[in-house]
Amino acid sequence: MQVRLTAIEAMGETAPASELREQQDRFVQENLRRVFLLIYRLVGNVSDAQDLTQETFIKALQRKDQLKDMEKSAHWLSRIASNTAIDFLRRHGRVSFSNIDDIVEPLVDTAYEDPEARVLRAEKRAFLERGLDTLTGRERVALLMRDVEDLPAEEVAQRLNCSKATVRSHIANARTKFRKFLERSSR
Amino acid sequence: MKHLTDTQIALLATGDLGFFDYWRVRHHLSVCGRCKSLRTQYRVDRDVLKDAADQMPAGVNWERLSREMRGNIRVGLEAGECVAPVIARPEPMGWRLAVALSSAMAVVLTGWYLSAPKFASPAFASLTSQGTVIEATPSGVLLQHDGHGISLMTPRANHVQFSIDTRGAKMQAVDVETGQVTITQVSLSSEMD
Repeated sequence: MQVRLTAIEAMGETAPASELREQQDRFVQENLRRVFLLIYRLVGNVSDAQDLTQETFIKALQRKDQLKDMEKSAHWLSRIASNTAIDFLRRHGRVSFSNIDDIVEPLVDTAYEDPEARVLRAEKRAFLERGLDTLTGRERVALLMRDVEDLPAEEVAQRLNCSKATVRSHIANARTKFRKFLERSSR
Repeated sequence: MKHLTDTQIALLATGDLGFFDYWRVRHHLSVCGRCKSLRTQYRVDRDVLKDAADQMPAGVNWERLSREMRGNIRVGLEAGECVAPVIARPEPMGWRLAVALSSAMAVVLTGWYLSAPKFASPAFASLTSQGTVIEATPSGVLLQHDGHGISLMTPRANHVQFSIDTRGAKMQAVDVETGQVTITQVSLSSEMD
């Protein structure tokens, strides 16, 4: 991915439009799943995650000249994605947990999936959602950023615009609640 | 033995407990199997969460969804290219900068005024007739002829009025303290010719 982005950067405005577009398409293709899942975990809704993922890539590719250090390109894209999702949650003052069954075509299509894999995946995902349902919105975001995105607590605090002590409190509460959920589930 | 709290262990699992807090609990952790086991359990929970979070939501056809998103992103970028870049407007001057500039300007103007050379008040009017010059000024009337001259001064005068013509000059002044009116008249006589 970093090589691809380097190519986009190197070509800049002088590259032929078709070649530049091809580079952008590859960049999107290679990062799309990761960014979509990151945003989906934060907002908990496929439809919103789709819109926010598109917004993230448009923002990123329009601002690609801001990226100076190629080594940090993945981190840079994740940061834009999580900030976009957090802004969305702030605007709406909530975390949406709409039922996956409510999502209309063309997003839902189970015809091509292996039934066994589908069941396993659905169970894991539903299990996670039930566990995350026990958390507040801020606890959920803090936990996912710290434990899934592996961001240090300082950076989580920066992104949530609060103190490190507050973030540590959110993380501790979230882990304790999630632990209790797992204990209840295993009985 | 007093065990660590759930909060402490939850933070310990990923090294998020502060340095001094960690220093206080490390001895207990080294001797307490229960707390150590719970810390391990929190680490396992983290792996469970990571694994579950990496799954695509059930029922989503990723191929179709990603194709749709890629198309929308391309359209969004092309639409963005059609919009002219916004010309950044210069930021309005901050009030601090405005005050500083005003003060600097006041200092410069005051300095210039104080250091500027002072000129004597110009004559209100003057008349020259055959080598004789009569000047009326705010401080009096001056008569000069062949390098010699006399002046009739009206110090502390106010409301000065004067007239001058070919016959001579006349000045009327009011004293600022007493209000006394002084009329000075200088005539050009025929002897001067």
